[in-house]
Amino acid sequence: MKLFKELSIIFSIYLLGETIAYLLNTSFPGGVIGMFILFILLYLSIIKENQINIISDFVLNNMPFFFVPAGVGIMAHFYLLEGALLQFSFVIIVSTSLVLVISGILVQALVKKREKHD
Amino acid sequence: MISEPIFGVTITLLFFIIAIWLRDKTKISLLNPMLVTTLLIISFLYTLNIPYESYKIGGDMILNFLGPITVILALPLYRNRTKLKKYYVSIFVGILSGSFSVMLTVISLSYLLGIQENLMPALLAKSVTTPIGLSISDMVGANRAITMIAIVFTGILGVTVAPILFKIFKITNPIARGIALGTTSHAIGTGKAFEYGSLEGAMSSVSIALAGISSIFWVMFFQSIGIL
Repeated sequence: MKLFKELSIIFSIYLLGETIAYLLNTSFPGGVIGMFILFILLYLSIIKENQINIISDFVLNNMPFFFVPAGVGIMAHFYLLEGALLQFSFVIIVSTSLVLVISGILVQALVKKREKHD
Repeated sequence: MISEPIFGVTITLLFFIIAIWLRDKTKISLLNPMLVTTLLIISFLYTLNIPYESYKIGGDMILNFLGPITVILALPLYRNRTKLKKYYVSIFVGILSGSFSVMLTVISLSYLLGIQENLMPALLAKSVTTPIGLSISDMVGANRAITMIAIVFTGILGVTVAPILFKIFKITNPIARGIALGTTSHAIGTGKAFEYGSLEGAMSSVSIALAGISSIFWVMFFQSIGIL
């Protein structure tokens, strides 16, 4: 019964998030609104961690499984990448390296500045 | 048999088990379970001449759980709430500027290289964890499969170049390393961050969900000023 209860909590929060997104008429994803709601409910101890932990840990530990079908879709859509594969990879390589360095240097500078203050 | 919805679910299960076994056996980080499972299923379908549409019926059943999974991402955030509170300035500045850099570099590089307009949006979500990344993909009208390829490639690439870049640019602080890894390479980066240490891992964990949210805001911002 515990698993059923856990699933009901998570699914209900998700549906609530979707409903809010619909009512606000926003493109902001309902699932992410649901994430905010769950965080607040946990923070206010309205929901306890042990009321959702079994399903949650199972999903968090096996997340890749749930996205595999989206990846397999490349079978039907690979033609979109043809002729652009090199540019596509180039953007990813340059952008990823830049973002890693920019965020790393920025945070490090901030932390050091704060430590000097303290 | 292949017209049964359970067919797609079953082969996903079987190949996922194989992929996890391979990773645990070899301990090669390039053998990312999502990538390996995907490639195994594609080869399987090709070899047996099974059309993608037959797999898709069951595959779509699994993908329906995308939304509820996003909700669950609140848990790592909650578990790290004390560190979140303690370092919130660094976290917020790092993540907001990190995801802004993703958007800026993707839009400008795609423009410079003449990447087609139907391909560029798929790159915007490349540093975001898959459940939120696919939502962003839908928001900008990108192709989900190509978005996934970009997300996995970015994850693996990020953890491969991170040790070298951290060394060259002397990024030694655990908070900085964790946030940089999580903001750039989502869950794959977080795995690497935990190898560095628990503070790195915690920082990277909170970055996963927060970088997703921050990316959504940047996408909405760029859409409102007419760039996307």
